[in-house]
Amino acid sequence: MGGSMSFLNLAQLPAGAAAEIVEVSGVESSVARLRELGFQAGRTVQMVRPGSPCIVKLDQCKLCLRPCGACVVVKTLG
Amino acid sequence: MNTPAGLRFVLVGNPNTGKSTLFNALTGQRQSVANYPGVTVSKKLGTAIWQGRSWEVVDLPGSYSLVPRSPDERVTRDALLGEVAGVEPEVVVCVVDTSNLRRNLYLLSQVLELQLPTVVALTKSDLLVQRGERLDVAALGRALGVPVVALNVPLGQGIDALQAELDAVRQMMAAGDWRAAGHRPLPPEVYAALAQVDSAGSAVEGVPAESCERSSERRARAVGRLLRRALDASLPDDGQAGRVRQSLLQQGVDLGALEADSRYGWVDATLRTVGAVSQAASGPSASGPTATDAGSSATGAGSSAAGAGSAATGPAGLSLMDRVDSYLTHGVFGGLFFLAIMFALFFAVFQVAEPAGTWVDAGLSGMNGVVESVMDPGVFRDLLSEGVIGGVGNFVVFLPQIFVLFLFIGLLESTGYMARAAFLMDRVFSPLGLSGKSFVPLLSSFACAIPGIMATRIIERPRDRLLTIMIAPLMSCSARLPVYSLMISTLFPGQVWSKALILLAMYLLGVVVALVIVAIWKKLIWREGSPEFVLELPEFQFPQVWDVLRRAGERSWEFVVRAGTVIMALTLLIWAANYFPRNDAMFVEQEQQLETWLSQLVATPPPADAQVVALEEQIARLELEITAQRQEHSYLGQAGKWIAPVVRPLGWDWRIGCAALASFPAREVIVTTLGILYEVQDPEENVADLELALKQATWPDSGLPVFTIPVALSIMVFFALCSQCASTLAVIYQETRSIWWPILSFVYMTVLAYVGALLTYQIGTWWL
Repeated sequence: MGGSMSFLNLAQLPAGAAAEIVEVSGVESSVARLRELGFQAGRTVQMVRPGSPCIVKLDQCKLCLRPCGACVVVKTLG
Repeated sequence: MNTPAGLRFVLVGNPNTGKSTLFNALTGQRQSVANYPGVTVSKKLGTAIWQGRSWEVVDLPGSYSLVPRSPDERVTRDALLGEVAGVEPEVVVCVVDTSNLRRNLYLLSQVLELQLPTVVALTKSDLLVQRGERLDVAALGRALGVPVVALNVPLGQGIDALQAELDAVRQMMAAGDWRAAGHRPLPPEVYAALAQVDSAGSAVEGVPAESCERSSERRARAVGRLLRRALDASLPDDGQAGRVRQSLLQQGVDLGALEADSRYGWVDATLRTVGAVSQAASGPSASGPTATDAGSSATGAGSSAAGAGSAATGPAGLSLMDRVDSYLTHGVFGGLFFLAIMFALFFAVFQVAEPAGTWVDAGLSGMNGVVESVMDPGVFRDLLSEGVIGGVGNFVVFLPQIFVLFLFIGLLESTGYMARAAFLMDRVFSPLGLSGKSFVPLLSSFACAIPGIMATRIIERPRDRLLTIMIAPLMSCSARLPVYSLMISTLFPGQVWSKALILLAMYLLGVVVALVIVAIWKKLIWREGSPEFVLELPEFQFPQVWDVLRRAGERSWEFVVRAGTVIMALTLLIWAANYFPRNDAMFVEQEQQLETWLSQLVATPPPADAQVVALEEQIARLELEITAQRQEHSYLGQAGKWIAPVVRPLGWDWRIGCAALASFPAREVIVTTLGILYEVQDPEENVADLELALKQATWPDSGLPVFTIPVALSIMVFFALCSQCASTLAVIYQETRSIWWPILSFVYMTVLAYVGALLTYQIGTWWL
């Protein structure tokens, strides 16, 4: 919880906020799918509509997401 | 006339990259093009002639990866591995969405590894330009080691360049000069494991040893396929591929992470070389010397461009379109907007109904007049005027409404709204055990269940797909529209908006029943949670109006063809069953009486008013009696006596029962059959005025009207829920490869329809 940086689940990110992916973990098949779509550590995602499912923006592309068994851990920027 | 053969090339790419548009541009075929992922649900074949050669084009379903997760992605992988007979690719055209290079290059990396001759087609570069970005196409071509062509398919730009590039590849292959790019993005241990199997002199599976020595390209391709099989855990663990996989697993390699991470590593390195760093943070790049110029080819001199850098979207806020999306997918606003769109659709349907109906009516009465004036009375005249014009004509009246329905659904698909609706629906579906992905085929089913059922191939889990197939026919398809429309306009006089509301309710009925079935099925029978939901939201597009209009026109024409063939055949069968046997001897006395009265009427001098009225009434009553008796003695009338007790609890007379029974092969038949069965009550009436005929129909014993509001509702509910389409059952069989699923679909829907109609009528009579 140090400073302005905190780790959280992607689903907790508020609308409009951008964050850096720290890790994708969970059930292998779900994780593999997210990785193939470009969810790699170090990439930036932006939340468009939080909730379940949520809409995130990754690499200029909007994705609807309701991962079951996978968790995208992010750290907020700034 | 023999055109020399070109090559067979397959189009692969991520969903929604414009493959289908490109396929149409290349072949002139018109397949459905929509702005939502998953339109091409099975491979499409076409031929195109250019450079004096005939080329075979195969459009494969869009895929994010060659590790398939759904049946349609499996088609793509199998076709690329050369395992689908008839479509083994000679050349691959990988369609890459320029506005989303990073993710698209991931699939390209898998494709390049297959060592097949590959050409990259860049689409949607206009979106990149809108974002103020550029890409150096020539540099990308150099980095990839394969020809790259920039296209703007809707404007027809770049097609020539792509064709020229393909012909260049063909010439190189013919001369034996073509060499694979030697794409090696994976870590060295993978290639080491591969080399153990592919050691000197040993045969690679599928390539005989002697041919390996002669043709290194063929061998390279076999090794590429081998690697693909080794990396794909969904494929069986046997043979050489299995040995490579085992060897990697023994080294503790995490196959899933390995593939994704090393490929994205390659993608990012490639993008850096090209000067297109894909993350917005890097700011505008100055790499591209010229603006994106679709039509140029990277191997030619004129290079074109668009690179990275981002427009107005800072990380702190959302762009305008993101905010629009945020509203459209809001639980309340988005839901209301969705309902408003649906309501607008049904409102439009009834708005066009009236003028169109009047127009078609006039045409039909005109045709009937011609037939009656030209032909002598007899079986053939009756067949033409009652069976063909009266029967099928009553059905064609609904053509404009069906056109509006197709147009609306086409617009929803074309703008990109469909994916937003799927997002909204995921909130409804996920607690029940399905995902929003099931909504895409369900919305198509509002037009017709057949493409809807085929579109379920985008659904990953087999059970979710089966369940979606089971409920898809409950969505009210275009063939139900005539039944609803006829019942609503006959029994519910009033404003257009109130009719539209009743229609909306009928559509919602199918949806609600479907959701209840899903909930019961998932909770009680399959007992499994909801699948995960990952769906791309394509950028909103201005609809391709001509494309949508043409498509709606084509589908409406299919409807006319159906009316002229299947529906006509069934209608004529019903007409014949209602017309024969022709026991003219039975009616000799009555006909004579009728003749006498008619001659009296003619002989009566003009001022004798009361006498004329009485005579006319007598004549009308006798005519009615004759036709009613004829109908009663017809084959259909005799069959009706058996049906009557079954349908009586639904509030139906035997004629409605017969019409519903006749509609089991194709539900549209109800309208034509009602036309035949009720028209006869008043032969002087205009044939097309079916509404009036229905309003005047009475029960013979009580003289009360047959069609009341509870009866109309009961008919509509029956048709909303019943399985009355032989083609749908055939498609369910084709998609599930089991006779039991279509049987189950038929039985559960028909039972549901009967019970639903029964409850509607009984509760309705008690209430009203």
